[in-house]
Amino acid sequence: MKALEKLDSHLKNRLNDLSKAKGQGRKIIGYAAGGYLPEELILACDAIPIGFVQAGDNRTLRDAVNYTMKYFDPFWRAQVGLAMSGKDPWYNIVDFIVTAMTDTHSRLFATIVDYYGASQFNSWSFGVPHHTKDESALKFYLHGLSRFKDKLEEFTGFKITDAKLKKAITLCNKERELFKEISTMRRSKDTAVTSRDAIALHHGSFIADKKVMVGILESYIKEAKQSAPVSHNGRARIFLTGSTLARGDYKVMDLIEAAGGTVVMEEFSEGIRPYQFIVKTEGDLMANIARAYYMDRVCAGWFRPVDENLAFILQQAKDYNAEGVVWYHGLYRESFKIASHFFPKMLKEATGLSMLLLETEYDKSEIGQMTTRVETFMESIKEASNG
Amino acid sequence: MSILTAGVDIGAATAKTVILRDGEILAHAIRPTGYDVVRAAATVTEEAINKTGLGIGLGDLKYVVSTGYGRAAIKFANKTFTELMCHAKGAHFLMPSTRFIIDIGGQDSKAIEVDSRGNVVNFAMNDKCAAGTGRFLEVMAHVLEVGSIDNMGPISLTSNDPCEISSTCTIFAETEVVVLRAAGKDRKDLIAGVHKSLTSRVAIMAKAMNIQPTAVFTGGVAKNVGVKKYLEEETGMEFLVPDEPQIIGALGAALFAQREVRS
Amino acid sequence: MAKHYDDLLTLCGWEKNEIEDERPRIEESFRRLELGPEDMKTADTWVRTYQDVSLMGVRKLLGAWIKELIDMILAKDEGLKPVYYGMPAITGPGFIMAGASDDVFVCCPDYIITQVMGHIFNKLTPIIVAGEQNGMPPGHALCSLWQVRMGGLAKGIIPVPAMTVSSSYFCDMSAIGDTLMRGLYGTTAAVIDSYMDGRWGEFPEVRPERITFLGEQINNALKKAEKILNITITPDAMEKGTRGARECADRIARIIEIMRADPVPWNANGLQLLEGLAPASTRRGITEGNKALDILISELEERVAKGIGSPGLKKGAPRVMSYHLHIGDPRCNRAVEESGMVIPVTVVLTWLGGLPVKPDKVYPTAGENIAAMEFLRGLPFGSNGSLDRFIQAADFVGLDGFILKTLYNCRPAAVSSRFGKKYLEEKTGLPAIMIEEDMVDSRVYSADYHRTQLETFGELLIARNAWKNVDNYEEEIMEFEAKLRSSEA
Repeated sequence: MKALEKLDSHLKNRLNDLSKAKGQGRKIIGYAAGGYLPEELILACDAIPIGFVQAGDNRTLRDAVNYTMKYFDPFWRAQVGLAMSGKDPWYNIVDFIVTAMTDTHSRLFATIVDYYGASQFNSWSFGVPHHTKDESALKFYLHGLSRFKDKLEEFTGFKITDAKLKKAITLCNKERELFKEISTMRRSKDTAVTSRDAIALHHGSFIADKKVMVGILESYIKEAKQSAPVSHNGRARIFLTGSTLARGDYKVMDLIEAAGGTVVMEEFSEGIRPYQFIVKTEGDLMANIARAYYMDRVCAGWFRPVDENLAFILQQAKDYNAEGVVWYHGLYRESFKIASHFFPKMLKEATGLSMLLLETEYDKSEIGQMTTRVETFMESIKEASNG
Repeated sequence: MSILTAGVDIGAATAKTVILRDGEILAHAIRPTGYDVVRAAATVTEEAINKTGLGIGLGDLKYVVSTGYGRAAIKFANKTFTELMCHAKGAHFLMPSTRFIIDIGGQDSKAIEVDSRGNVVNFAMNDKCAAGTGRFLEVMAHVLEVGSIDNMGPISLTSNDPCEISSTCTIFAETEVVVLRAAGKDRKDLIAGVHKSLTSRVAIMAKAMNIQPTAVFTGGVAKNVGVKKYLEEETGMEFLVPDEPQIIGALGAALFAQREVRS
Repeated sequence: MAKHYDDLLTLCGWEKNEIEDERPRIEESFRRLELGPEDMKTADTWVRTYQDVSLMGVRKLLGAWIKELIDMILAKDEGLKPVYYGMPAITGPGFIMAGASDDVFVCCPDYIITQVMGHIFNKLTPIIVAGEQNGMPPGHALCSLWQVRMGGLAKGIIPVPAMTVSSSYFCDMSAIGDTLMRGLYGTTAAVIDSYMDGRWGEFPEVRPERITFLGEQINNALKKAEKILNITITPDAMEKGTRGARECADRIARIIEIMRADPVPWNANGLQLLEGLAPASTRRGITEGNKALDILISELEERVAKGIGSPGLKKGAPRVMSYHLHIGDPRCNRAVEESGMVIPVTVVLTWLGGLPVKPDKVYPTAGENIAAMEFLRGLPFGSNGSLDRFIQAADFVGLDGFILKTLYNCRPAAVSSRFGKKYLEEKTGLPAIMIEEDMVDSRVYSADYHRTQLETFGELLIARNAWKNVDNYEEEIMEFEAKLRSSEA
């Protein structure tokens, strides 16, 4: 689609654009994955948000060895490796790194960047509580956002006024609405929207210019509505979920497609932009942002309890007419590991569907074993549908 | 009166003994450890004693220090010291300017910082992983059918395009090498890749410490010219290799034995 | 009539009449634990080898742990409502719930089982294996304490509780484990959340909103407990409930003071018995434990007055601080001492009262007061909080080095797996070693696995101390070795 070509072209030039923006005095604020860092705050002080969701190359884990032991989620170890090695152009170009710390694995990253990176980066972090839909947790989260807001104003020299914040909220709401529309289109079996497209848009949105991104999404939707549906005939419809779908880690998608499946929807706590909520633009804007991001968003996989997240996955699997669920998480990510133990039974009882569990350490040698598992899973789905 | 002491280093792959007389190395012996560490210690020590040509026996040794993973099992030893201490002692004795040591043995690798007195001031060992040890090379030598493991180093130097082997685990790296071989990669490039992979593991550990000259490379793997080359590239430091890098631990143990006698 | 367990229980400080009175309970508990006559012999040897049983206080302490285990196993059978919480526990809420009703039995089963079955009976592995098969598979660096809990449930050793309480801010395991328990056993959980987001350099200043948040979470958890357990938490209950923990903290503080002596009067495996006492138990473990500590304190004071150390521990031995001692295998703690070092304190013990802290104000609710104390103790503050407690302890007890644990089984503790060493060495000038360990399961990380590193560290510290203490030591050695090199000896 032309929209995707435009995205591709925009992203190819993005680092140059960012360099120019820096030269004009604008600040580039890099933020860690998890979905609890509102870009609205960054946009409202005329800074540029860059989301770090790239991973997938085992070599980045090697760069992390001197900073962390190996028994942490490889996505977060990769972030440590990318940040500390000086080899990643995205980490190199930002002026500031902020982490809205979610579980222990993201806390690892923030703590290391704050400690070792004191001479390399300006950095900031604050904790995001994990108690699902709890008002006292919401208050704490709002405190964290408020402190971050103060820090941004201090760093950029720009005051975040209500007017600027409202404008930023409106822009981000628009982006979320468009992503929601794209997702809704995918419920239909006759849609031109593919998983590859959707993921490319999500991943691109973390590093693209926000206004450009909104324009691309609008164009994509228009094109998709006018395009012929993509045929998935004979392909098993797979709902893909898990901890992180990193930018650069597409092996599971490749394997599913090679084995005769098609991904009809994805739900990840990291790597996919949360879009199911809207931030209100009237009243106390900071409180609105906090409530939307913490309470209105479907909670991520490390929340306690995790029921809401799992219930959402079950519903999505039904809504998107999935024939099977592939659960893909990083090795040593305990919240997801344990949930993957009891979720298959929940899934079976609620939907009749089976689940395939895949775990990764971004190691090339995994491909062989993953291939066998994915192929077997697709075959079993096919057999089941053939009766 | 001359004092004879011995240091016995029982490693996972090889057992070594060094006999000292008043600071002079009289003889040394190396043999595979095998299954029975007690027997290996006795046999290698007997061999070293015989090599002295002095017509002496075990009872003529004034003091014996044992080291290595099997050190506690050697009943004829008077005392044990860890191999880290012994490598530091031995390397510093041969080269008093030694400040940093990397030792890669059969089942572990170590990085040791020493001060001007040869005392250990900082050290690190590989995490629970065979990928940075001699075992890794042995496994790969078998997979790549190079015959003797001694061939690995020289072959690695003939490559201009080492393969990237990313797995952190010896077992999975073996899988990766098999896949690359099936994909038609040149054997010398695979062998070079194996060497690079091993040294990168060790270098990561070393680079967390203060690498400074004189840097010394000890252990059986130090005889591998390919590992030495890649280690120097990774760390940016020249490493000196003693003539007999495998016996440095045993030498250090023998020196500790001398010190114990004196004290 | 004497039974096969009498001698062991006597060794562990039980009185004859206690054994007689509790025979049915002892036998039923031991049946569920699959402990037979051979296990008693093993335990006897194990206890005599690794514990300083010449101290009556130690024997009573061991006995208190066994009593807590028996009470926990039989709690539901005896009409009580078991409430389980996980580690690291906030001790306050548990004690408050326990203080509200004699029908409520609050404890940390993971720790109690590990302590007794690991340290006393050397029979922990089958329980861990059962846990691995019950939702906590091996190879994923999951919390081995939780594996013990799930194993205990799977084997029917411990009853399914009336509710669980997870302090879910230290780690991700606690609350997800509760969700697993709900999925498998239908249990209800009260979650106490917070976040360890203290920034470098902040400790011990605690942001007010952290105290407010954690305080509210604690208060809400207590309200939930009242509903589920059908209890009323009165001010009296709070006072009664928290008294035991306060008294234990005071005793731990005294013991750490005593451990400043050289030679240290108590060994590491003994000290380890204290690490879980207040966090894991609210009944006989803590009540009898406190009495045992009174006896122990007198005995240790006597040793110090006479200049006697714990058997095998030398005067002048290098003094090191650990994060947490091994709970499941006393050989791992002994390996430190066999390497020539002694352990006078651990970070967990500083957290439990070993280095007393006092918040600067009294808050209006119990939850906030508990929260304020918790943050000051260091562990829930953030990685820097724990590390700064190491530094405080180094000053207080006099240390020569640190043994940091990069814990395979504990992600939050492992966060500081690399910078911890750097931080402490820079701040204190003392050497630190970082070793990989599982503080519950020693199958992979055994004492022998660590021995080379521990012995080297011990030798390093001994040599370092020797240079400090002997004027011409350095010159003597250098001269000797120079002579060796020139073969002029």
